[in-house]
Amino acid sequence: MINPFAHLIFLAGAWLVFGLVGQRRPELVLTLFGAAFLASYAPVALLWIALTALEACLVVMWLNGKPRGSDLRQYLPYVLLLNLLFVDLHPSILLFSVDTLAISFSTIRIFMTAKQLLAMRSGYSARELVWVWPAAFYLPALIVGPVFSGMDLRKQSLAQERPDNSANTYRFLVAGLVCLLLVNPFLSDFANRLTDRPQVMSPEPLRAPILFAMLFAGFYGQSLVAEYSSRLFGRTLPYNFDRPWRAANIRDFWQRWHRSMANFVMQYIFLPMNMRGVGAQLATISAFAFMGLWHNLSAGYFIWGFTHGCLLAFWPRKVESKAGKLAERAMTWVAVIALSYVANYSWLA
Amino acid sequence: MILGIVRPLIACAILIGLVLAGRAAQTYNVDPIFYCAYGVARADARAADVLFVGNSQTGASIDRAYIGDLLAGRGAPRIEKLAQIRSSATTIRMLSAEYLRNRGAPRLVILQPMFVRYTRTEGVPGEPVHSRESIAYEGWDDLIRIRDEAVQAENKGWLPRWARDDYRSKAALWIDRQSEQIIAAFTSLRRRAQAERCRGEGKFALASHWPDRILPLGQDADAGPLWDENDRQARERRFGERLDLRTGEEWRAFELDQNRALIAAFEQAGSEVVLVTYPTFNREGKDAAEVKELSQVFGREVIDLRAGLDADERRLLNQSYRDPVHVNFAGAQILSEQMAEELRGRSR
Repeated sequence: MINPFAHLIFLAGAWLVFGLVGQRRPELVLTLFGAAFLASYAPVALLWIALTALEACLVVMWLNGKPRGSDLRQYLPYVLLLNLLFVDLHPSILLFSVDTLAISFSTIRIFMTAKQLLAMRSGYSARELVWVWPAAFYLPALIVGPVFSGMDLRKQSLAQERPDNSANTYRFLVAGLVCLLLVNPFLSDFANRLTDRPQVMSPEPLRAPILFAMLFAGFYGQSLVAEYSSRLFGRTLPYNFDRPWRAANIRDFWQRWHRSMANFVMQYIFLPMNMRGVGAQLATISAFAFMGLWHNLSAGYFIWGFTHGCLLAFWPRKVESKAGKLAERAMTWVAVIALSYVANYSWLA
Repeated sequence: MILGIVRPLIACAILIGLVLAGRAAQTYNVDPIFYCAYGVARADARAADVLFVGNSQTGASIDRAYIGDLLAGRGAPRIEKLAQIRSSATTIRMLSAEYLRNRGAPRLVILQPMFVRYTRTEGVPGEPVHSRESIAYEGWDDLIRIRDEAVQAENKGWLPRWARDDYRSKAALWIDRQSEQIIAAFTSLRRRAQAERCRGEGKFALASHWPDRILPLGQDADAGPLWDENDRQARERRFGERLDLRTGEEWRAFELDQNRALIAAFEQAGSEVVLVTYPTFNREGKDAAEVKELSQVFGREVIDLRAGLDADERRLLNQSYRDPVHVNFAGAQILSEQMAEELRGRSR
């Protein structure tokens, strides 16, 4: 488990170097510091992510000569997602456990970059391949994302975006730190105190809301740190959260919760399936089942993803009555909290 | 350029300030028993006559004050206890080295050899050396020296040690240390009272873990918690996962080396070292076999506290467990009295 302060120390070091070099080349600074962070804490993850990035470069280079619109060009990059299996399967293959920090998020970012490189209308130059590397090792986003394409960074680089030192940036950065460093440990402690044996993490379903709040505080806080620390370097990342507590129904929830990943599965799993004739409902369920297994190759997370997919696919289109809206909101949160419990704390986890 | 560097410099200055504040407060976010244990090891006093060293089993089984009372009148030895919870051979070795360096050699060391018994929860035997407690309190050079020994120890797997998930580079250890100190700065208000207790004489009691100065139990005194019947089944199942010593196994090699180094450090400093094992629930036969095994492996005497008990005491002891490996106050009284007998025999 990485201490959040360790990540902050690396971020502060990167910010200092960024200032010293005249606030130039933020991607280079953050990529080098990201690689150093992984080399210090998870050297095998560093190698695996580098291998995935290299693989992406080779795939893109090879596919560049293939006809635009061909199935091969469209679907071969998906083999990069197989690298995600390393996270869950490596103990059986290597016969011991390695730290897989950042692999899940980096692989998705590398894949998105490869896909967007291949989708460039004007074709890409070999130099553009370099954007795979910031996608792989972007320091602020190593721990919990968000997921984005290296080409988003390229756009901002070409536009010569400047660091955002507004009060808003610091406000959200501090809010993130408070959630991550104070609220999350407090709720964790509180959840542990609810049991007779605080040293043993044996949560029962009654504690599910507190455990969910604890997860949310950690995830939300770390996401804010990622998003707003990146702004100090002049790069805007997609938001992971948009006030999810306001979610009125499950559809609304997924437009507010882990948005970058939800957008990814809709764009890269749902859309291709739907465009090839798979029904919207089945494509939605498949996209979210993938998202569940991306979190963890476990029965709990499969049920989590599959059920979220089913809820999204079959949730009523419109609810008119006030009571119906209230019930809809309540059912959404019961489902979200219960499924989070099943995925993370039940015997299926 | 200048404006661009001012803000990061302020951020770094804040972090450095927090590191320094945390280092001064030492209110790390770990059990205060560790602070007190290091407080004992760094106390401004000469070494104890008898020093008990071990993990929570030592902590739960021995009341140093009661043994001192029982031995009073025979030169009244000064007795201290270093009982670290969830300790490994490496963490105890570092703590003991700190004691020897600051306070010199105790006359007699009663050492509980350290072995990992649950690999699933406790990690590789003897490792990791970089527990949060070690990172927080240990001297940097000792921490790095023992970490290097662990890295260079014979590697059973086919991948290098740096590939394992419990590996920490020196840079990562250094940063983790600064992180712990930042956390200490944040928790200094909440933990100040505990830290104050460990700075004073209270450290000798708190480092003892539990019990201290409550024995012998009076007629109606609370004997402490008893193993809850509802909990017993679950715990017994887990106890079934407890590893046998199997000191001949390759995976024990590093841990055995660390225990040998621990014994050698005390002996080189001039201490007499006697080993001890503490009884565990319902494992009379296995405990006795382990005493024999340890005696052979280390080539020295191992005190078997249970062997000296009569049938009544054994029965009472068996009813005094609060979990499979820790006794309550009533059990501690039986074991402390037996230990006092052992020590009395030694002083004749």
